[in-house]
Amino acid sequence: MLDALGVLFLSPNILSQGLILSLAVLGFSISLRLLAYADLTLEGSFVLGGVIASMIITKGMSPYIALSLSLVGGMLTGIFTACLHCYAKINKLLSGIITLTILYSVNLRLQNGSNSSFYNLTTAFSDLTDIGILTKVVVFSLLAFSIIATILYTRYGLLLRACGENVKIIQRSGHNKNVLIVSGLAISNALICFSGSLFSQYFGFSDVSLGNGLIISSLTALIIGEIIIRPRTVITFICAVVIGSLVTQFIYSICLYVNLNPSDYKGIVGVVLIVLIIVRRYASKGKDTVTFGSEVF
Amino acid sequence: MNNTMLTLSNISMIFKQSDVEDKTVLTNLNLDILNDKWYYLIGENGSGKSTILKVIVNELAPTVGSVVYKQIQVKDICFIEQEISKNLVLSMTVFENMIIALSAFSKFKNNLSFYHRKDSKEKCKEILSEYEMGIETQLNKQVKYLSSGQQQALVIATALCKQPKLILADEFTSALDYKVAPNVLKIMFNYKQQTHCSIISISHNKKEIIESAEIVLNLRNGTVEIVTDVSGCLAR
Repeated sequence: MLDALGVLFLSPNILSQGLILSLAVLGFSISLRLLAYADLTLEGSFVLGGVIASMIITKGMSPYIALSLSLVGGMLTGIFTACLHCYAKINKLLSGIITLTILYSVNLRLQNGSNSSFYNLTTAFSDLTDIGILTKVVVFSLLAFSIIATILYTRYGLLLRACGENVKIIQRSGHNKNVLIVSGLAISNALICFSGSLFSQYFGFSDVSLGNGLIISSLTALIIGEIIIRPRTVITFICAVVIGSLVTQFIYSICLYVNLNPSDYKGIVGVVLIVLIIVRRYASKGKDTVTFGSEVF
Repeated sequence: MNNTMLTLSNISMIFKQSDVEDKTVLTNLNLDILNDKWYYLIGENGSGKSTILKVIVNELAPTVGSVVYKQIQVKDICFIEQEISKNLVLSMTVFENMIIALSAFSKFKNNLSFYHRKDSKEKCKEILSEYEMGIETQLNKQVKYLSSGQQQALVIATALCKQPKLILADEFTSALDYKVAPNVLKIMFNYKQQTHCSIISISHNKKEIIESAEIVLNLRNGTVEIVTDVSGCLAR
């Protein structure tokens, strides 16, 4: 049994899926931990990535164009949500919910239906073995993680981190907090949308319900990673996100292994999250539960 | 030569409150802030001392009147709040807090450079070593793990490295013990001697006021009056 679980965890499929989803978790973590912005746009922009992939690929265009456009699409959704908060003065949580709701209609219209299959068409992962797919996913993820780490190690990245915890310092130093929030959410949603595009290309289909429950599973992944790694630097923060995503994916694969109904997965992740939050509170013994960035959740 | 740094002209501040009567804090307040002076603002709790500082630094707009900046701009003013946590990012390291302060008012392209550079670390060490609080050896420590004295010294360091021409300090020694407070006051005094800046402090500490103040302003009934007999006024 344990051997089987070990093989399952190290299987290229689980690792590939975990890494693809870790990009979305990283995007969500940037808004949540660095900007202290619980951005619920996540579920919509993840689906948008898949929708863009289906639009481009079914037209016979290159899957890499789909990936590039998903970055642009994600940025636009992030900018839209941030503008709702910064300029229309709508509450952070509500601004995400509004964009998410609008995106539902936009995604349905763009895709001309609730789902679209492009299984037999050329995607970024066509004609590759499982190991080949994993290699490609690792390259994409490493590229994305390096870019994010580079950004966060600049002064701009430092200001982004400070913006979530003490916005007054930012304003008193003559920086525009709105610029930081808008650009931060643009980066975060670009990553999420990119992840959605990769995810759809991996499975060969896109569905408007793909993002359902992604907030909870991303938060679960983040908290698992934070409990294991206790990040204090940018690099350890990214490592926490990746490890958390892989462990969450492993939990899904156990559900698969014990033949649970797929519709029960989200319920199980929800229960795991509740347990984690309670355990984290008691295990911290008065110390900080979140060691890097702001504790919104 | 005109020695006035800024003028508070006919300032009134009324806080609108729903269900209860509006609260008038400042009434037709006129005040010139001069160069190279250390002001102390005294007055009862709720008399509007912090409000004046927030009006000067342009964080609160007065209901009536205006602040006329004559020899300085808003970016030359540094505001140190009473609570240490409001002046620093506690989860970040000493070095990162210093970098944020040093990047104040910098151009966007400067913010695209990496901050983990050897010359930046040396510069921070150099600045912090002047404070003789031992923080220069703890550059990579998170601020929340420093002692309150070290945190306040860091607050002053982050404030002074912006080279302000006017410092607004809201009870900045109140969290410090009797050993550390004089040290912090000395740092401020030395900076003032070197740069001829002005300082407006709020304090309830009689000894501190008598030792440091050049001009004491008493805030009563929404307006200020210059106190000549400081000891007598504070005794009341």
